[in-house]
Amino acid sequence: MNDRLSVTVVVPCFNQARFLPGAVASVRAQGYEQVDCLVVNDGSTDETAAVAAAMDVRLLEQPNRGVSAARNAGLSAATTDLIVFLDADDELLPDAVARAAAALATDPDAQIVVGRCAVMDADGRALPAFHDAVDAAHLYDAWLSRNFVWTPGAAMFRRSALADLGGFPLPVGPAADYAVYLRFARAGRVRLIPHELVRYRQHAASMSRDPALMLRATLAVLRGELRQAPAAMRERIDVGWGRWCEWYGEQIVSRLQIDWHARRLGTNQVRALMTLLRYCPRVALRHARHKAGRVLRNSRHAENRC
Amino acid sequence: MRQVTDVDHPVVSVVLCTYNRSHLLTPALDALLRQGPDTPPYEVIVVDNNSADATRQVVEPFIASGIVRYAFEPSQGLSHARNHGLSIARADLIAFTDDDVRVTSTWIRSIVDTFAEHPDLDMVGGKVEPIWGDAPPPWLTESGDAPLALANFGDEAFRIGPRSSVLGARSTPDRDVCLIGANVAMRRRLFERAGNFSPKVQRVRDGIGSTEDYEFQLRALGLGSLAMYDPRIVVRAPVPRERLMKRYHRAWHSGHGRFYALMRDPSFERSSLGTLLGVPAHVYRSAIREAAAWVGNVVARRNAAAFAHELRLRFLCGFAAQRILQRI
Repeated sequence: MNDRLSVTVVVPCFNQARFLPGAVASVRAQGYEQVDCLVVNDGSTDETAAVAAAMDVRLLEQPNRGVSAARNAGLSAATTDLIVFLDADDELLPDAVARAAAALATDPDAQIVVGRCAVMDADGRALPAFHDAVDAAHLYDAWLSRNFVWTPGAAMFRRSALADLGGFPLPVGPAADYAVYLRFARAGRVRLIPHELVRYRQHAASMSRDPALMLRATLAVLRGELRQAPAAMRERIDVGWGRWCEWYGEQIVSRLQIDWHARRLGTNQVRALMTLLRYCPRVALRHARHKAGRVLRNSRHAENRC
Repeated sequence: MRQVTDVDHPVVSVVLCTYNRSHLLTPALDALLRQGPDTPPYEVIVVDNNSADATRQVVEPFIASGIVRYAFEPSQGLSHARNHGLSIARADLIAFTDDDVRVTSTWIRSIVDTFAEHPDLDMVGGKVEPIWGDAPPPWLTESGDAPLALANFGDEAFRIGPRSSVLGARSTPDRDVCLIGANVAMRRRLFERAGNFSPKVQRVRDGIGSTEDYEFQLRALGLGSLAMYDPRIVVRAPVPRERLMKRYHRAWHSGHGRFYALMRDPSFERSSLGTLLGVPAHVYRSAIREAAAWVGNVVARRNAAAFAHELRLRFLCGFAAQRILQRI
C-alpha cells in the first residue's frame, strides 16, 4: 500500500571501499519495492570507484568535498519522493525503508521520520547502544540538548522538503545534519518511531572527531536556532547549550590530557583549550579543582617531611 | 570509534587504573564496551598512572564513544589513581576493575541489580575467574588465589563480616573474605563516610602484595557498612606464566607481609603476651610453628604442603622485617 512512495538511498563514500558492498547490499535487501541506490564517491583514494563500478549501482563521482557536499550532490540527483542518507560503513536494517516510508505515508504533516540506531563492530557483531528516552511531545526541546540520530541512516526525509531547505548547510561543518533535524523539529515536522532502522558501525577507521571542533560546530547551530526560534524558546536553547558544553567539555579534557602527556602541543591543542575555557568553564573548573587539591596535598606532605 | 550513547547521567562509573599495560588495555576496554543489550548507562574512566608506554594512544580512539574518559594521575600509586577516578566520577555507583581484566557482558547490569535488590548495601564484589596462561601447577591451591588476584568464594551470595583470620584474601568458614579491586563496586556515600583509598598501603608501579583494597574494606566494615559477595558479578583475569612460578608466590607473600605490617589490622595487632620489637608475640609463635611444619613436610616429601607452610612463613617474616626495620 505504501509502496507508492518511491525512495532513494544515497550512500556517500569516502575511502570506505571495504564496507561499501555491505551498505549497498543492505539497501538491496530492503523489503520495499521502489528503492534506488545512489553511491556518491567523494573523491576516495582507495578502491571505492572500482568496487562501486563492479556492483552495478548508480554512481556519482566528485572531487573530495566532504560528506555534507556529497549528500547534497545525491539530493540534487535524486527524483524520488523520499530520501535516506546511509553512510558507507553503516547498514540499513531489512525493514528500515518499509517502516519509515509507512510512517511518512500515514502522517502527511511529517517531513522526516526518525528511528533508532543499533551499533555493530567492524565484523558486524552487535554492540550495546544507550539511547536516552525521548519525549515525542517535546521533540525539539530534547533535540536541543542531544542528537539522538547518531548517523543519518536512522532518518528518512521527504526529498522535496529537504531540497526546499537547500540540503545540508555547509558552513556548520560536521554539525550540518544536526542543523537540518533541528530545523524540521522546530516546525514540528518530525515523526519519531521506536524501531531501530540502521546499524551504526564502530571500527578503527571511524573518524574520531575532534570534540572541540564538534562543540564549535554544534554551538554554531544553536546560535542559528537562537536567531530564528521564538523568544519563548530562548531558555530551552540555553539548557541545550549547557548540556552540549558539558558533553563535549569532558571529551575535550580527556583529549587534552592525552595530548599534553604525549607532548603533542600545536595549534589544535591551543584551540581546544581556548574552546574549553570559553564554553565549558564549569568542566574546566571541576578538573582544575581536582588538580589544585592534589597540589595542596603534596605540599602538606612536603611540610610533614621537614 | 563513534558515539554509542547520548545519555549523560551514567548509573555506574567504572574506574580502571592502569600503569604500563597498554598491550592489555584494548581487550579490557573492548570487554567493557561489549555489555549486553539491557545494560544501564555507564561511563568508564581510565586513569593513567604515569605510564611511559602507548597507553594514551590506545585510549584515544575510545573517547568519541561518549562512554570512555581519560585522566592522568602523575602521583605514582594505585590509591592515588583510584582516588583521582573517584573525584571525577559522575555516577552514584562506582565500580573498579583492573587494566588486565576482561569483564563479562553482564558485569555492569549485575552490579546495578545487586545494589537495587539491597538498598542498604554499600559494597559488593564478585568472582574473578582465571584465564590460565599455562596449566596451573599442582602446588597451586586455593590459597594461591590472592597472589594471582583471583576470587571465587562459591556460588552463594553472602554478607561479609569483620575478619579474624590472618592471611590474604582466602575464604574462611565464617565468610570473612577480601573483595579485590579487580571486581568490586561501592556506593558513593561509602567514600563520604569512610574516606578514600589509603596511599600508605598502595601498590606502586609493579610492587606486589599491597593491601589498599583490604585496608579500605576494614575501614568500611568498621563503620558498620554492609558488604556482600555476589557470584553473579563475574570478571575474568589472565594469569600469565610468570605468575605460575613459585618465585612469584614467594615474593608476593613476603610483600604482603610487609604491607600488612604497614596496614595495622587491629585483630592481628592484638596480643596477650605483648610485643617484641613492634611485632606481636603470636607472630613469633606462628613463625616457629610454620617453620617446623615446613621442615617436617620437606622431610616427608609432601611438597604442596611444604610450600604452603613456606609461604605462610614468608608472610610472617615479611611482617616482622617491616616492623623491625621501622624501629631501626
